[in-house]
Amino acid sequence: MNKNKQNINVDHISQLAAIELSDEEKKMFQSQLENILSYIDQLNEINISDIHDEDKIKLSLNELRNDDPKKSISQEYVQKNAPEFNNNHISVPKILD
Amino acid sequence: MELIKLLNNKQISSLDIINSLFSIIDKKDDLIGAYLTLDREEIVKNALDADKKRSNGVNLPLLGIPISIKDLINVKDQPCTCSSKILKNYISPYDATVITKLKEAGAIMFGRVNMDEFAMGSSTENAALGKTSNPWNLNHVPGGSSGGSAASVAGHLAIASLGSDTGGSIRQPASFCGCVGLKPTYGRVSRHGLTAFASSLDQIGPITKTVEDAALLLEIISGSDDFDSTVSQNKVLKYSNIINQKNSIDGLKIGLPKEYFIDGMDESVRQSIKEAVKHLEDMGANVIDISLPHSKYAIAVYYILATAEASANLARFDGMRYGARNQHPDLLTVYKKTRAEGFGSEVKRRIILGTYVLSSGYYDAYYKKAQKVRALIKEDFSEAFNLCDVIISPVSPTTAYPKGEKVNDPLKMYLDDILTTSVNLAGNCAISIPCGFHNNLPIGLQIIGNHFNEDLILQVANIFEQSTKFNDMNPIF
Repeated sequence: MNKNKQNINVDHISQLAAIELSDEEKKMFQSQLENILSYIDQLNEINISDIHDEDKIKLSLNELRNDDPKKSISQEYVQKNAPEFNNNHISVPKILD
Repeated sequence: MELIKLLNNKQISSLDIINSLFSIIDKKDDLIGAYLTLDREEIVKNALDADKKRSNGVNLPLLGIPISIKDLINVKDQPCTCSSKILKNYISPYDATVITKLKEAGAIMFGRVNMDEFAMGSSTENAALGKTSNPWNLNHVPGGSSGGSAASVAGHLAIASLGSDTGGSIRQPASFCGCVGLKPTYGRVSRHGLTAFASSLDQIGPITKTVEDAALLLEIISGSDDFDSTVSQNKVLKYSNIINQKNSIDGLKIGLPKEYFIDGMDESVRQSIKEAVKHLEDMGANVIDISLPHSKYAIAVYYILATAEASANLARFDGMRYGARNQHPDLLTVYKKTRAEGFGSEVKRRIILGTYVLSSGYYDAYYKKAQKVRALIKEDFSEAFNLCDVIISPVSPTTAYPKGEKVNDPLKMYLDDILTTSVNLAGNCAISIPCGFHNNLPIGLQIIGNHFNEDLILQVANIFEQSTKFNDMNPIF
């Protein structure tokens, strides 16, 4: 999969990740990540076609607990950490015009 | 723990311990930089309370013992910054399960210690808040990401610490700072209240001066939890008793994985490990060569899976409900600028990589493939444990390196994790204990155990510690 080197579009991915990158950062990450992806390419050496991951890497899970309503954190604590808080609500930028 | 005996015999009080720590912190922490927060008033209050309880006959396993906490484990009413600008002013609204357990055992939460931002790093140089140095040589890194935890213990600024380990972040700083560091089996300890980095890899564990202390802390923090469905129902053993039940390693089968004695390893590290193994052989263990054939893929697998999980886990830091917010009229811009300003370089790099490997067209090539190779790595360990009881290796190819040496080459930094990440990928438990020094910098020995076999690795580590003098050494500073 040597096309990896050309394929990562840091600009596009940063949009998906909702992180605004400076031109300098984009340049730096582009070359660093191409380097890292080149290294990761070695996974192509392994034949993995006959491994069924569902069987082998299943983590042991507890049963789910009962869906009983429990006390959550108080409004006081929500307010403490909210960037903006008015009238018992966290204020956020508008979503719809 | 010696202190518990002294406390129980009324030779010292919890307040004495606290004040002694404060005094050392006053002298040394300006230079070591382990602590991000230390609420002295609250700590003194808790110490007095503990002393009162003790004099009233209350008997709890950690009553009055102070534990420093890595700054990504939530303690109610205390900051939980993850050493990130984005959470600089965040105050925890709840206790992590491990904290609840420590408090129920009578322990005192003693400050918030520094780390690589969001646990991403191997040197604590990625800390956005504060700078931490290795107490053995202030020009060298303490390791990471639990660098503050290890530095606080090594520098006598803390009795013990709780850290977290996703790819080596307890074991490597413990190795660099000459402490004991234990990563439990995945699912041994609840992750509720641990700020998530990679949910299928993260584990909280103790960083301590002695193996005995690590055993006691593990016993207290382990166990099932309604708030973490990945915690095992496996019975929590009385590790603190168990370590003293074995004083011989006659017939113990030790596996030495050939893939872990890599080219480019410091000769001093190789030599120390060799001597440690010889010492264990002299005490009756049988050493066999084993192979963990997929070891070389561990870094590639780790940096696909961990970054993928991190990209999902860090999506919550968007400036809406908590943390910093860039005020801008457009919602999407708020997200982008908040995260741009709030996250450091390494965090951004890993989120970008993780987003990429999960993105449309690349998910199969990267994420799915990495999961399958992870299964192979896990199988390597399963098969090895058919041949041996414990696996021994170095923790790091080098001792603690000078600050700034690897900061500009992320891949070089990543490759240092080669000896620790497989254990996280396979979910096994492992402990790092001091086994030597080079140029006055500590070297760590890693003992890896089968799943839920912390009892055995603790026993072996304890026997090694008791029969060598490495644990007695202290930084001159």
